[in-house]
Amino acid sequence: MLKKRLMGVVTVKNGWAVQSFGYRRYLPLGKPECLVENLDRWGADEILVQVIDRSVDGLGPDFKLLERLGSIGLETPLVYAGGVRSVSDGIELIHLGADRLVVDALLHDDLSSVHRLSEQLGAQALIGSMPLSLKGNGVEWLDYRNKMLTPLTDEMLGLIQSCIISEMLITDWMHEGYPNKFEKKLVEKFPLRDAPIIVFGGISEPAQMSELFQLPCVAAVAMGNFLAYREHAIQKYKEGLQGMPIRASVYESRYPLTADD
Amino acid sequence: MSYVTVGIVDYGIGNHASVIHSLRDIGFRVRISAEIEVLDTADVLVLPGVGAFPSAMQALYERGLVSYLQQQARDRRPIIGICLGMQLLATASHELQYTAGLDIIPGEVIALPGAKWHIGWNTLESVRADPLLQAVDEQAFYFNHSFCYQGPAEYHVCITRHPRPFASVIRRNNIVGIQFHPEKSQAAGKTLLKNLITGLSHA
Amino acid sequence: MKYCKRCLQPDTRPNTTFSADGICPACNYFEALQHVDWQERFEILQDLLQRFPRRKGQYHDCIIGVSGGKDSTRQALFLRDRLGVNPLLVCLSYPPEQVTERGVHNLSNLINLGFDVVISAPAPQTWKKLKREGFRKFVNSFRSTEMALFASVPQIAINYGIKLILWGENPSLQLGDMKTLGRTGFDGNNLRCMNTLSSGLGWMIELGFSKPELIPYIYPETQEFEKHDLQIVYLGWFLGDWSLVNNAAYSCGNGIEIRTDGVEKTGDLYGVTALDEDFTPINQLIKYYKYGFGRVTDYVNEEIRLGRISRDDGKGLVEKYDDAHDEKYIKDYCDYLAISVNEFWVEVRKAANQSLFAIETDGSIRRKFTVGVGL
Repeated sequence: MLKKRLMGVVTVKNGWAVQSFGYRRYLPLGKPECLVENLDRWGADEILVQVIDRSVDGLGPDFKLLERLGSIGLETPLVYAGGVRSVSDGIELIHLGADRLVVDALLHDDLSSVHRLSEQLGAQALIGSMPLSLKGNGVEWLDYRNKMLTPLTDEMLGLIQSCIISEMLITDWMHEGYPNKFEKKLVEKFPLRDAPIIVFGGISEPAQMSELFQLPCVAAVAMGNFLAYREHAIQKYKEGLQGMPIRASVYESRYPLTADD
Repeated sequence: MSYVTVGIVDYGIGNHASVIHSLRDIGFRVRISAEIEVLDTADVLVLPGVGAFPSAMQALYERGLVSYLQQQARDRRPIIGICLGMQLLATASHELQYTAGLDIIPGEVIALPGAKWHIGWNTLESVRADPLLQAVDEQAFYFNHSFCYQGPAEYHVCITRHPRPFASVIRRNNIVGIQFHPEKSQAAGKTLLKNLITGLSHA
Repeated sequence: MKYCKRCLQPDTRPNTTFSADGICPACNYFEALQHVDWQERFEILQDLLQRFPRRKGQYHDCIIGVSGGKDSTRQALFLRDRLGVNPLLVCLSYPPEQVTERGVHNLSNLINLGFDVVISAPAPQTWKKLKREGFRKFVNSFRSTEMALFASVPQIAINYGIKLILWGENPSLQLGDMKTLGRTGFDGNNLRCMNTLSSGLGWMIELGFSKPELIPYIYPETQEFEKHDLQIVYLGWFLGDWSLVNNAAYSCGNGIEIRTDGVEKTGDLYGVTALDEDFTPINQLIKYYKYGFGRVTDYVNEEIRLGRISRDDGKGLVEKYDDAHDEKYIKDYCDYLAISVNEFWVEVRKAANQSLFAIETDGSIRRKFTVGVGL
């Protein structure tokens, strides 16, 4: 049966891989290639690289970064986010090695491009990113470029319902970087019941992750900051999630891992 | 010392870095080309693919590779089709418009029954004993597609459920089709490629 | 005199031609290297080695000329440990009077790393006389030395019946000496055409040496090569990161000692060349006066290509150090050649390229060209 996924996220700003707190504060971690290689080796189910300063600065996607990542020869599916503007951007990114793409700014600016991307690349290659926060009895949608909060539009929801994009990345942007703070209500209050969701932002505890994995609409749990604090982070989390419908942890080595091999 | 050389058919679609890396890691020699002289030197051919069926077939035609691959299949040369590459081995596909394929493994490519797409890690179930693919039974591999093969049961080696079953590995003589991405499936994928290619190259 | 637009190589190097857009052959070669599939080249090397199986009773697969320095240590380790062959190492040793402690240490290091090494040391008086006469005739005492260094390898290959000779860098590709270009990037059978070997034996015979005395200096003829089926292969073609500094990094990590006397004394920017004797830096100085570029230029060009230094910063280093030398080393050199320091400078001034350099009234040699720009 199809497993749920534990996704590793690498956030990139100014060419650096960074820790990100509440979409506000950033601390450097190092070269994005190193974090991506780690996640690949640790057996993440997917790796998301999100470059957060592209749309803000009016630049397109960071093709050079993806080219470097693409040429590493990763053995894990790679998802790219950051600055996707058009179908040609999308095609180029897939050509450089991304398996799937995330669109964020484009969802605010130009839904027709999203439609065209979907036609060209297939809905399974597209993920819609929605940074959300609670408002009253519902949720509000953030445009991270100007920090404006708006309600979810019918057009947006239509996009999901008509399967133009395959999954949504729902980020609890306020609690990003804060341990165990992911707001579960964001999923509960989301207007669409059946659309597959990837949850992200402030997820750090296996108990928390178990709860989320048990929600039928959650297809994947994504983690960024909290994978950066120790070796074999992915494996350790998976081992804390016994019984969940996810792929078991795997330790990779060129040499036999036990003495008697 | 003899080495197994894998020839990746390069028809201008997709990124080959992961496949090349996996194969070299295993210890195979890898050549990537659209030139028949180069592909002729390989022990096993790999036909990769991403995107839509009609444009992929178009790209193969433009490079004169359709008749080449069909002839290789007739000559019992081992060919492994991956993801869209597996679908191209079939008779035809219903994706976008009805398009003829290589017709090397008879069957049709249809939209996934009961689901719009299939993304993520899913397990294989062997439906036919095949020594080359024994190790992969029950293992999870990464799928990323919305169309699948439908054809005679005699060509099914493994099925996968989503939740309805579809053929995830097919085989006819030395031609094998893999719907998932072994090169993106970490250790399980490498083991599969190693056993499969080693076995096929000694056939 | 023109400089390469990208690096600081002037077009005064013998046998070199710049491309129409003013780029030197070494820079163009470096560009081409960025698109090479190194794994594929490694596989070509594996296949090549298989074409030279050992004959019955033969213990070694190939032969490498070594000094114990950065290039030869790297090559030997690469062949044995990455490719699993058993190389016979051949060292043409400098005479005891000339060789440095460091050089002896490094050769010992190579032996201790577990290799079979054949060391030959040509008769020192003949060696010294040839160096002296070489200096008199060419203002280059290394003509005879280079002949012996290069000749020793095929000579021993013939004597031991080993057909495959592995050399280091391909001078045509890496430096721009186009006469050595072979059939493929790694075919070295044209090495005999290298500028450094171009003076031949004639001048040595004129000095009154007999052929038997000159055996160490005789590079086997093409017919000899063909008769014994010798094949020289450039290992540098297969190693994507072949460079002065990279080779030094590998070899230092494996026990070699490098120079610590500094660029001001030797004109050697990182102290990784001329490890086994102290006269090469003087020869590099003379090369500078003859052609307008010395050892520092070689280093800087590599660093520029690797993107580790800008052309401007490189210019600064070349301007400052390309003519660096030390009085003591020069005195030692003169003593060896049995000439006075004064005589030395008289010859050097005569040999200096007068269009590139002006001889001042006080005897100092001033560059007329602008580094990086030319004349």
